[in-house]
Amino acid sequence: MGIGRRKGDLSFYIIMVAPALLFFIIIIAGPIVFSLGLSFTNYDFKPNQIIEFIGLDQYIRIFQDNKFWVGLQNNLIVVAVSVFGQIPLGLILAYLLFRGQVRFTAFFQAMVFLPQVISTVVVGILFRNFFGIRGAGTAIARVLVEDPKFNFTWFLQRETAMVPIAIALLWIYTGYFMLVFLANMQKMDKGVLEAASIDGANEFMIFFRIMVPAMAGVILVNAILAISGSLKGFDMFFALAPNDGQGLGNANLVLPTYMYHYAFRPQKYAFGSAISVIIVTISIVFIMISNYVGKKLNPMRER
Amino acid sequence: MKKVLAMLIIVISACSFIFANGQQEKNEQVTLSFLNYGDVTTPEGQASLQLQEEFEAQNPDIKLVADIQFDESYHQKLAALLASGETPDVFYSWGSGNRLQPVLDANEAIDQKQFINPENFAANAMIGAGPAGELYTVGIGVGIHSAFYANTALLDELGLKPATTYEELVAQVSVIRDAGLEVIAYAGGTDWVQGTCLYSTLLGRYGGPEFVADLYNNKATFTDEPSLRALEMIERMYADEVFNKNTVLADYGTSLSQYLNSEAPYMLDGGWRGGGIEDPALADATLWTVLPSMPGEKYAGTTNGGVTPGYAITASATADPAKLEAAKKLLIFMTGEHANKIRAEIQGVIPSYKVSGEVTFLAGTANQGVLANSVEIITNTLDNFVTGDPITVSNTVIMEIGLGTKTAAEAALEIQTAFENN
Repeated sequence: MGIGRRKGDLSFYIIMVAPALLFFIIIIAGPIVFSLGLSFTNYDFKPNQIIEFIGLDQYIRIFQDNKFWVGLQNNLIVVAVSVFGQIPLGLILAYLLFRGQVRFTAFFQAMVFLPQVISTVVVGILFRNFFGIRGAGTAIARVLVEDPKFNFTWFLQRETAMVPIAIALLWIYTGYFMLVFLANMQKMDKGVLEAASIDGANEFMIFFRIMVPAMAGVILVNAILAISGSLKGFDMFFALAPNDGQGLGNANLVLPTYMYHYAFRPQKYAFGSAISVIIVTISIVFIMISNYVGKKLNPMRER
Repeated sequence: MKKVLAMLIIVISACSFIFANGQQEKNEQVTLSFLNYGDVTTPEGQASLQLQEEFEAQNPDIKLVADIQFDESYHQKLAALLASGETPDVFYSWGSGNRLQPVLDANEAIDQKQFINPENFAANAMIGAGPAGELYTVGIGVGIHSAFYANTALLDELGLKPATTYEELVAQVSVIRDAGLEVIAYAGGTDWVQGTCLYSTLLGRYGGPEFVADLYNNKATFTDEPSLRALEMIERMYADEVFNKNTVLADYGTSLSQYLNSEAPYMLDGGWRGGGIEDPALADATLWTVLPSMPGEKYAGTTNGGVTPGYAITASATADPAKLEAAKKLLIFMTGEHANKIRAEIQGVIPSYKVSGEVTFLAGTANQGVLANSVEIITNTLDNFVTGDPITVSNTVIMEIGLGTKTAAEAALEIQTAFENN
């Protein structure tokens, strides 16, 4: 291949990549860098405001704010529910469907996936009303417990305020992960599973000794997706928790809703930028941890 | 060549036609930008839109470039317009507080009394929030922010009369709860309700209008006795089971539903809420009053309220005399007698204008005006003048009193700290 042809290829590649790269720089990378810079200033885009560099003052304010730590704690709960709840549950459900352990597999597959097609805002409102004082869920519960004054009080205590959020998260997103696992399972060589069955392995052993190791890469990818989704989630929390996602006494704050209520609404954009930088940093840390753990546990890795 | 010439003639003619029309338009019309407010699916929004359209029809010499937004999208739009320099000439405005701050920061808030005749308006609607008494908005109504509704029919069934004192109310608690009802339908789970409908009322009862003014002028603190007594009273209301944990679970829609479905004989909410009592029988049976007299109060029978937001001309609009004249016409129209009557009829808003003749109120809302006239002192609601974090914090800590996670003293200290750091 001549040099001229290679140069032509290079030009072609640049032309093909340039639009997307430009879009990425303008829409994604550029604002991230701008936001990082903004977080070290006091600039809130007010008319006639003088921009001042204030160093780490915004970050110090955040770390001294108890509401930030409440939001961080709640976000960690959401990450835990996603990684240790949605993914294992999705994997188990996918395995049951893949191995035909239940009848009417198409029906169950559709029902588990159905919440994915509903808007998360709608789900949040539905859950809030269903379990509210005058909700259908509360009415049913009153009949079941034979107490006409029964109410779901999980929002009243910090310790239980995230329970309805966790239930909603499991209900919405498990189906997505189930589908991803199912698609990957269907690409597997079924001969391996049949051979294991012939050798006397039961379903339990097949699941833990064959299926889980085979799905290790998919589990890792799903974990990364779950972590990044958990840290940026806003809409469902806003719709489900009282007071536009704050909860009662700020018990339901997560970092995005903290940013919305205490930065975006009062138009403190520099403060909000600092919060967003923290969210991105936490995401990167978690993803690096996931990658590390995934590599360690991957049976196919080079030793 | 001929074809080129023909095309050139056509193009020049078309351009001339377009520019000629523009010039004609410019000679005949003044263009006015107008940022209006309202949810067009509600009576408030419909009234705003109706008035806007009436103005346009009556003033063909004014080209209104109008936009109508609601709630947060309105505030974000206004902030964006101010930041970009595309300031509206006339806009829906709050007279003070958080919502006015972006306008003040942009140096667009000016005294509106120079554009209207203040004699035509209610006296308390002309009290300006500016440092020299500047009126930054011409309010379109006056409102009671805390009304105590009593379902006399339901109370009759329980063998009770509407409580006029706190002690009477406490004595009724066991009877009401034994009947499986809540005592007071109150949206304790919605943060702003705490400050607007309860805390501000009690501040007025224990401190009076001077103390409330001293609070936001930094001459009094939230740890002073009147504020502390107000918070302690809230604490006591939960201890006496007047409110309970279910109160804190009730959001803003739930409390009205409870009252409408006779699940509570009393409701504590803003004066605007009475318009939601649409059942004629319940409306007839509802007694509109103020919170019962509280132990140790100094100003009996008061409640809190204020002037509603309204309309204002921006500083930028005053640069062009023709535009300013048009803006004054729009301001006077949107805040004048006709507009006030429309809002009373469609929304039930108490007029800020001294209307002549009969005012027809939306069914069930005339009582708010009657109540407002019967109350001797209406103190200011705290967030009429206090902005930012102090309001957010005060609303949250009052909720935490209800949850039992903060004492009144802790709440007072936290509010004061937020106020000092604001």
